[in-house]
Amino acid sequence: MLFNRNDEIDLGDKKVIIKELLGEGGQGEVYLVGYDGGKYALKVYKNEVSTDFRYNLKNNIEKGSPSEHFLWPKRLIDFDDGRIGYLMDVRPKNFVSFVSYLTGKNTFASREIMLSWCIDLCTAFKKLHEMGYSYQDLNDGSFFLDPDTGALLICDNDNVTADKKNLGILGKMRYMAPEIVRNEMMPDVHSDRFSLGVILFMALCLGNPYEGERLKNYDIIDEKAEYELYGSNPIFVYHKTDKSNRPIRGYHSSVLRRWAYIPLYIKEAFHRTFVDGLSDRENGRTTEIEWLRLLLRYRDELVRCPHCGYEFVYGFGEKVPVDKCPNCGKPKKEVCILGLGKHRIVLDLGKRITEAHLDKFSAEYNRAAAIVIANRTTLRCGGSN
Amino acid sequence: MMQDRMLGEGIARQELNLLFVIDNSGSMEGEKLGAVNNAIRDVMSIMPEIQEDTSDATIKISALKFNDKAEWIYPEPQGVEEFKWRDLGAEGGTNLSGAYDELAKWLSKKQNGGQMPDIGGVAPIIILMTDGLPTSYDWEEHLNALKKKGWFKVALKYALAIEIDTEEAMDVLKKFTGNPEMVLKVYTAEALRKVINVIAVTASKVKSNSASMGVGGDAATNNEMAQTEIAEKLDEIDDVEW
Repeated sequence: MLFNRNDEIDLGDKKVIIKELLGEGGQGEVYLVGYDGGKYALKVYKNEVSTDFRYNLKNNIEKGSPSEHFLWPKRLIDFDDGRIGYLMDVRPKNFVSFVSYLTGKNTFASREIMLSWCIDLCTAFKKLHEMGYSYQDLNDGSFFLDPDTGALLICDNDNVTADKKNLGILGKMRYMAPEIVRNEMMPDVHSDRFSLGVILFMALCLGNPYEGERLKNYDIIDEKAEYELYGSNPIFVYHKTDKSNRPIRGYHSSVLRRWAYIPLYIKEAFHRTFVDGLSDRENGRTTEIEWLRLLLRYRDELVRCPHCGYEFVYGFGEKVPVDKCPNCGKPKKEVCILGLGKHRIVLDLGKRITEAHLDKFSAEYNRAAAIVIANRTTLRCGGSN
Repeated sequence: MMQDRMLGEGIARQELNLLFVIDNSGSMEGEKLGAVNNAIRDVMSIMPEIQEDTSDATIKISALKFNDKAEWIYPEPQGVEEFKWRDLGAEGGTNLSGAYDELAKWLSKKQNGGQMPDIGGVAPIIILMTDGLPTSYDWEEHLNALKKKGWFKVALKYALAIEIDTEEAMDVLKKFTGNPEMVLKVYTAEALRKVINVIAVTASKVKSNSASMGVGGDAATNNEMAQTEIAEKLDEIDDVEW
């Protein structure tokens, strides 16, 4: 430990008082501290960092956070021994890690809320990219969620840099774009976009898009195996023509179960990123704005089974019509459909209508402008579709 | 509201095995074995946090004790929440050959009768701790058989030489790790406790994550990364030599 409880750090104008060690990683230590009359988190780097790294961090602090979703560095601290650190807000208690969602320890209150989280994620990336940043070291450990509201928090923002610059960390291979794994390029918006696809696939399908039958080719999953799986020869598990890497029955059960009920347009968007996006990094990968439209559409057409509570798509865009609940098999309920321009919203209980539905230039995909508070399923609907 | 899935359903993960191989022969009696018992308890109190920080791998733990014969504490590797430590007592000789045989059996895929995963396993971590020369003189033959196992070859191997001062006994351990830098001489119970902790915890933390890459492309392997981090931390502990 670099600091002990009650240690004081004098910043000239204000003091930082160490309260407890919150965590430790390869790079540094994070403490809970008192500062300016409130509680903050302090990250301290164990080793001296490069001038570029410090300059970048300082610059990011001055430019400010892209959106409320980021736990953004707030104040840079230079210690006497040459080390640096920074202050940021403390992660509120209602947030749990995305890791704990993936491992089954936590789950979202509903699929609708899970999709809202995914929408927030795309919004956050869109704003980050609009500011000319890219996230770079993107992995499962960076994201947090409120299981009840679907709110998003992104941590570890000290590696965020201007597009196409890199300060030494490229990330975990499992989440990286193949051209970065192969060390052909520096991370940028397009590699971020690929990683965003991976995180969305994990959120929706509980699996990795490139882990399937081919795992069996390796006795041990080491760096060489990972290089092949994610770098030199990645094959999407649901590749339309190359079926050599399908999820393994009895091992990738979550993916197998979940992929079946994902709407076609979401499947296509994944296929684009994970197949076309391998060779065409600039135009092959589904962009944030495309994801936002598709995820909104997915959420709009969710309907809850009145018998078992399962949420599934109404089936506007499916090849095979959806007439019964995929979970319990009982018939789908009749629900009013609201048509707003291109949007078709299934007016099930609790369904939200947002500004983005009403104004195609709005970036407000989550905050409700209206909510369905009663739903008489016996009512005859005269929707505009 | 109904949840979007059943709790407990999760992503398929790679499996990382952490193996303790513990000499509990008569000479380990007292402070030495007491320190080992304490250390493993310490490690187990930290393991759930390490597990919680990653969805890349599931950590599985095994412990092999050996005196006149070698015996696994659990019949199969346990998750971090399931592995409960019961203090070891000391008696008998130091049958290292028996321990190597048990390790060799364990380090095969399940479908081949061992305990390693059939799909998606990462290179294990093996920590051997002993305080003297083996009483089984044919240990080298048994080690050679163990060395043929792929899982052994790729493992991150450490050996802790507890108050050992003969070159002969050190050589036994150097042959086990295949690298003299991975044999640590430990002189006090306190140092032993800390060393076990640093190795088990740091190695698990690094190796339970997908391989990281830095600029330059020729990324250090996870084993090398763990080694570097462990070395940095060992520097801070007194009464250890390597």
